[in-house]
This record gives sequence, structure tokens and C-alpha cells, in this order.
Amino acid sequence: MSVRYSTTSRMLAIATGLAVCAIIARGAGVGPWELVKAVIEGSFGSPQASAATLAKVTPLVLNGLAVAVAYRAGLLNIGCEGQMTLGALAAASLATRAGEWSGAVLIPATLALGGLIGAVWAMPALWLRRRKRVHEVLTTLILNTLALHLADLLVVGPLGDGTAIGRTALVARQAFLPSWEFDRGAAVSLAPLIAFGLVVAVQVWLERTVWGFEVRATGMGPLAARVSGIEAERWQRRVFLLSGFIAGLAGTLEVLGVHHRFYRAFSPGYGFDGITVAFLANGSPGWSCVSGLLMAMLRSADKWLQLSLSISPSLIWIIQAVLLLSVACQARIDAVWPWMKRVFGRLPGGPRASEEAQS
Amino acid sequence: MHDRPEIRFCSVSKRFGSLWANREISFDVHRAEIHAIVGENGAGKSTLMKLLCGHFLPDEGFIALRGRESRFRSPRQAAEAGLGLVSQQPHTFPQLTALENVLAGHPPGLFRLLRPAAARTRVEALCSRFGFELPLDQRAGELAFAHRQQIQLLRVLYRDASVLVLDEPTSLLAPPEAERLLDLLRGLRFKDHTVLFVSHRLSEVLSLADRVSVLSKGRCVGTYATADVTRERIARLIAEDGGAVGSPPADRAANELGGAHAARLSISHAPVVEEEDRAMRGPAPNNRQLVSLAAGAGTSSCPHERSVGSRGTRIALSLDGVRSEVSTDESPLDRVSLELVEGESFGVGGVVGNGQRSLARVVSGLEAAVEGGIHLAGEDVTRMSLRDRRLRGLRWLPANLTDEGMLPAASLLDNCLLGLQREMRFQRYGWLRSKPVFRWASAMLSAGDVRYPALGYPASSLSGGNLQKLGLCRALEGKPRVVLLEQPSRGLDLLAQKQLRSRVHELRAQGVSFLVISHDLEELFELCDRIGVLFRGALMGVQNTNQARRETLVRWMLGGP
Repeated sequence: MSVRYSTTSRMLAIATGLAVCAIIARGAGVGPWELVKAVIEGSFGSPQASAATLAKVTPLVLNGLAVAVAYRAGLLNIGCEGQMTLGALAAASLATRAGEWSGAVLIPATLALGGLIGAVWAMPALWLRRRKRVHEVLTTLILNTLALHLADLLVVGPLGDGTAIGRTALVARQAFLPSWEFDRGAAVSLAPLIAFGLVVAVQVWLERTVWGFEVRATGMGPLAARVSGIEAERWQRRVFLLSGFIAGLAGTLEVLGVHHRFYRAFSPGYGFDGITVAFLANGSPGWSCVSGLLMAMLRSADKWLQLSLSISPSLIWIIQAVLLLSVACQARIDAVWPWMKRVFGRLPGGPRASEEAQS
Repeated sequence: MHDRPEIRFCSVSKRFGSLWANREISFDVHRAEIHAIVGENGAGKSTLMKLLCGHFLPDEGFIALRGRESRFRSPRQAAEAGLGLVSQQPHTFPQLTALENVLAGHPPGLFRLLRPAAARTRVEALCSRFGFELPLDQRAGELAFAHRQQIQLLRVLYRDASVLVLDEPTSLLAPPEAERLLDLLRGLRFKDHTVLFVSHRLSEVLSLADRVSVLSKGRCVGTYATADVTRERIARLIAEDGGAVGSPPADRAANELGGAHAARLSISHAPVVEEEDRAMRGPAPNNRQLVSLAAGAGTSSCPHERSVGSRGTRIALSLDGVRSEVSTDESPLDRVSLELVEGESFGVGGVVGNGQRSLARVVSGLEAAVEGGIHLAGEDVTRMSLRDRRLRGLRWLPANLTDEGMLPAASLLDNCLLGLQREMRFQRYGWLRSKPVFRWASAMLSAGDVRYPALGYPASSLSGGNLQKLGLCRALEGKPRVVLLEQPSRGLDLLAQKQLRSRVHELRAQGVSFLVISHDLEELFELCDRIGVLFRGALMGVQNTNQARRETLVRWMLGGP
């Protein structure tokens, strides 16, 4: 199939999606341009809105990264929600109890613990996959439910602050992530920066190192990788643990950067949104930044849309879903804006920019 | 009888991107004719067959079937018009059984129900008529490659297609099977079927086909009655356009190295006979002890020197009474013993399913031996992983290259690097050095005469023969000690086969040993010093190539003494 053909088909998919969205919006009495403007205003229109959007970016991008990195090794981690929740709970429990530690020790220790618990929660899936040949989608999905209820149980009981609300005490003051208050009531912590840094690190690791090459080979053809002397199963195990670690980290950053405590029903589905983020980015960790930001904008704009255009939030979700569907039809964002390739790296599967120039 | 052509290609052109796969191809295929199509790798043979069978539409020109222009929008429409394609890569559903695979796509009976019992009897009848030993209730994913090809053939025969289109049907068959297939095709012609087949084996083409069309670089050079042309003339026609540029240096290399090789062979042949006896007698306990002692003493770092009898040559690979696990798709190995001297090439032949795949898997380390020992250059590697054996210089070109050796979705660059990524010249402290890799890969592919659009394109964009060339280049790259080649000439055109031979000879002169596993006796005769035959997992016997008799080998293949 020629490159030109597939590019046009992607453009067509996006155009179709946008057209359908415009028709839906028109039906609700809103012009398409108004809608786009409202989304941008709602997410970045005011300092407070920007702060809210940036706070949502961290868990979305990190969960997207967690799903994407496992996907690159040929595994599907649907269990980010559970890994993130338990990671957050563990982090909050440590940070509330270690009051005498200094911040420079406490923050890294909490991050490490939160990530570790996320990885530990991914382990049963690996074990069952290896010993009993149970597919990881099934196990991680069930582990999610288990994790959410376990966290409920613990936060009402031994790890809670004693109230009936079901939350932990506030974490120690020095465990708050350094944040920058750029306007009254609008602050952004270090968390998004950490998330973006991690995305870059993972992307570079995958694309530029020998180990990353072996991981990618494993994901694209496990048998061919094994025949070429790559320890495919071992890489899959390692990368799956890394995926759990990143999901756990997402929860930890949420505790240390945003809420400063753990409470019941901690994640509003960030773990599941991570799957969307990852697939919107076609499984590329680098592009998870872009799709994560997009998702965060849509998520934080919904109240504003309701206020300014007085359309129901359900409509926004419908529009979002239509857009996602059109993108899922092989529509890839790097085909629309080629310059983005230089910034975020190549999407897996397509030719590299340098070689395209040569051919 | 030949008043109206069954199929008429009328200046058919098909373009992929900037590459013309077919350019103004015109020829006729008569009714009840066996028509062969020959040409180099990438000459556009497979594309033409796919155009005929509705996989895609021609960009220009048209194809007429029985006098009417056919514009099939799908392979299904082509099938309904009586065309049946047996493609180069067997397309099967791995989860379905062989029987279900044969029935797939076939119009169901009353109330849209499959009638398994009736269908089964028919398929069984076809199998016994054509001598296929196909386990009908096994899942296709577990079947040997050649069995999957039989599935495709059965699919077409079951549907009673009036035009059979076969893309290199015999490339994976052992001589007795290939002979049966050719008989089958001859029989079909008498029943008024038309057969169109692509092949690289000119002897087969000349003995089977009525007429032959030669393709070169996407164009049709001509159509000839096989009675009027010689093998040499066809070979010249094939090479005339595309091959002429590349062939003289390759020829020269082959001649030069051929001389050196002959000198080598005269030295190594005398002891080979002695070794053959040993191989046939079975495991040699004394040698085995000696080897494991040496390995235990820590001499593994330097190649192990052995003096057996009068010979001073070193053993590169030895198998002592190796048995393998019972697998679903073919016979497990039954106490196979063989030894390869450095620089020697040993061929293993046999009918599909008699343990060739098991042998490759056990030697490569993908599967563990149940019993017996494997030594690589004197070191016991029986319990070693595939990766560790690779590090000790064992290379493997698997038979099912697209699944086992390539990442079809990954770029050609990544595919070149696959398996070699840890070599020091390609990395610095764990970072891949993209420039040296890029330079090396382009050099390797052009040396191997692989035709590719650009290194960034996915491996799936290569034609079957070019993919095979890439696999070969990669397997012979670096410093191999023992190379395990499975069906090495599969899909290669004559020129590429010649280049493969000269490359193998060149490496053997440097002391590299080859274990060649092939269903094709001609290939074994050309590449190997000694040929052994596997039957039901056991090594029936070994012959020196220069004294080997085809009849004996074929008899062994069928289980005779």
C-alpha cells in the first residue's frame, strides 16, 4: 500500500469524524467553531482552568504511558486503575506516617513505594499468564475490581483517619510536591513535569537503545524475537512490571501533587482513560503526551461547556467518543501535522522522517 | 480446441507507488493447458497471479476470462468464476482444523449449514487420491508449512476450480511429493482444467508445462512452447534484462571460489566416509565422553581440537543420539546422531513432517532435546538457551520466515538488525548507533541484491524472494560458526540461488559449517558434501554427494532400507 493512499484515508477519517461532530453540535444548537472555542476556553481560558487541566494531565499521560509501554512489548495492561489506586493508597499511608522525615527523603521514598505497589499489583497477572496461560486482559480487569474494593476496605479501616468518610489523614507538609502558584487559587505542581520527563525517558529508551529495540521486537513478533535470541518472555515480564510501576506512580503523584490525601473512589476512571490515551497515540509513549493533553482538555472543559453553551455534558461525551472512533479508524495525528513527528518522535509503524527524505 | 483463449492478459499494468510491478503484460492461456510463468524475484509473477484472482484490480489493461473481461472486486468473485489460487504463503486459519480450513469459503449446503460428514468423505477421498497424509482434525496452526500448502491445494480441488493458479507449489515439497503433485496437475489437464503455475525450477517447467511465459522486470518477454525452447534459452531470457547487470561478478566469484573449494574438498573427503559410518551406527560413547570432559575442563573458550583417526579437522557441530519431544505437527527426532566438520556442509532431506522441523528447533535451541547431547565446537550446548547458542556462533534461517524470522510490521532497518542488535559495532553503552546501523544495513542489502524501496519501509513490502534474500544475508552476517539453513532457496530465482551457492562456498572456505534442511534434493546436491535423509524422525542413512544416488535417497525418504 502506498504511503500517500494511507495518509489520505487517515485524513478522510478525521474529516468524517469532525463532520459528524459538527452535525451533532448543530443539532444541539451550537456551531462547531463555538464548540472548539468553548473547549479551549474551558480548559485554558483562565488561570484556574489551566491549573485544573494541568492537574488532570499527569494521571492521564502517565496511565497512557503505562498502557502504551506494555503494548509495545505485546501485552495489554487494562489494570492501571487498580494499580494506580493501590499505589496512591500506599503512598498516602507512608506520607502521613513519616512526619519526621525531610522532604528530600520522603518524596522519593513515597514515589518509589507507590510505583512499587503498582508493580506488585501487576504481578499476579504475570504469574497467571505464565503458569496457567490466562490472558492478562482478563486478570488485570479482575484485579481492578479487587484493588478498588481492597482500597475501600483499608481506607475505612486501618489506614483511614478515623472518620466515616473513608479517607486518610492529610500527608505530611514536606511531602507536598513543590508547586508554583501563578494566580490566586491556581497552582501547578511539579507532577506534570515529572510525567512529561518520564514519557521522554521511556520514548528514548524504546527507540534509541538496544534494550528498547528488543522490547519493540518482542511486541511486534514474539516468536521472531525468540528465534533471534531475544529473551522475549523476560522482556514482557519486565515491561509489564514497569507498566504497573508507572500506573502506581500516577496515583502517587496525584496524592502528592493534587489531593494530598487518599480518599474513597480516588480515581475518576483515569486508569481506563489511559487505555484511550494510549490507543489514540497508536501505542506510542511519546505521543501519549499529546493525546493525554487532549483528553485532559476535554475532561476539564465539560463544566464550562455546560455553563457557557448550556448543552448537556452527555453531548460532550458523545462528541468525544465520535472523535475517538474516527481516530481509531487508522487516523493518525502525525499524518495531519508532520512537524509533530520531530517534536514527539515517530509513531510506530510508519517510515522515519530521515529515510522518507532519502527515498 | 484452442479457438478461444481461456485467459487473456491484455496489456495489464499494475503499479505500487512508483514501482511498476506489471507493465503492459499480454499473453494468452489456452483451455486445458499447463502454462508456466517464470522470472526473477520481484519480476511481478505473484502480482500477476493476484491480479488474475481478484486480490486487486489492474491499473491499466484488462484480463479476460473465457472471452469476457473479468473485473473481480474480490477473491471470492474470482473463486465463483472458477479460479483457484494456491499462493506462495499458505493462508490458513490457525485455530481451525485442517478440514475446516479446506471447507473455509466454500458455499454451504442446504439452510447454510456445513455438512461435515459428507464434506469429510470428499476431502478424505481427495487426500487419498493425491496421496496427501494430512491430519484432518489437527489445527492448522500446529501443522507443518507444507501441510498448510496442501490445505490450500485441497481447498481449490474441493471447489473443483476449472482454472488452477499455483504460485511456486513445489518449493516446499520433497521429490516424491513434488512428483505426485506434477502427476496430479497432468491428470487435471486431461480433465479439461487449466493450470497456471509459477516456478523457479526450470526442469519442472520444461517437463510439465505446455507453454511458458517469461517475465522480466514486470514485462512479459515472451511466451514459448516448451517443446521449442531449451533450458538455457529460458535461463538467458530470464536473466537478459534484470539479471545481466549483477551476474558477471557473481560468476567470477563463484569460479574463483569454486577452485579453492575443490581443493578443500579433496582434502576433506577421505575422512568423511569414515564419519558417515559412525553417523549411521549411532552415538559414539567414547567421543561423547571425550567431548564433555574437555568442555568440563574449561577449554570451551578455544575451539576444541580432536584427533580422530588420521584426521586433524575440528568438529563444529555434533548430535549424539538426540531425541526430541513429541510434537503435534510432525515426527519427533529418534536418536539422531551426526557430526559436522568445520567448513563442511551437511544436508538433511525427507518428506515433510518427518522431523526436519524438530531437528531445526532442537539444534537451534528453540526446543530442548529430551535425550542425547548437542555439542557446538566441542562445548556441550544441550541445556543452553537459543541465545547462548547464538552467542557461540550458531545461526538459523527458519523455514517459516515471515513468522519466525521477520517482524513484518517493523521497518527493514529493524529487520536487518534483528538478532544482531547486541553486537558491539552497533551500540555504545547500550545505545544503538543509528548511523553505522543504517550504513551497514544498506551495504548488506545491496550486497545481497535485495530490492527494496527504502530502509524505513515495513518488511511486509518486500516480495517473497527478496525477503528470503534478506533472511539469508542476516543469517550469514557477522562471524557465524555453524549455520542452520532451512529451505534456503525457497522463492529465490536462479541468479539468487547461484549467489547463495557462491556465498556458502566462500564461507565454507573460511571454516563455517552448514546444516541444510530442505525438501528439495537438487538444492541439497548443490549445497552439500553429504546428504542424510530423515524418515519418521530417524536418520535413515547418509551418502556423500559425489557418490550419492538419487534413487537411494528417495527410497530412504519413503522409509525403504
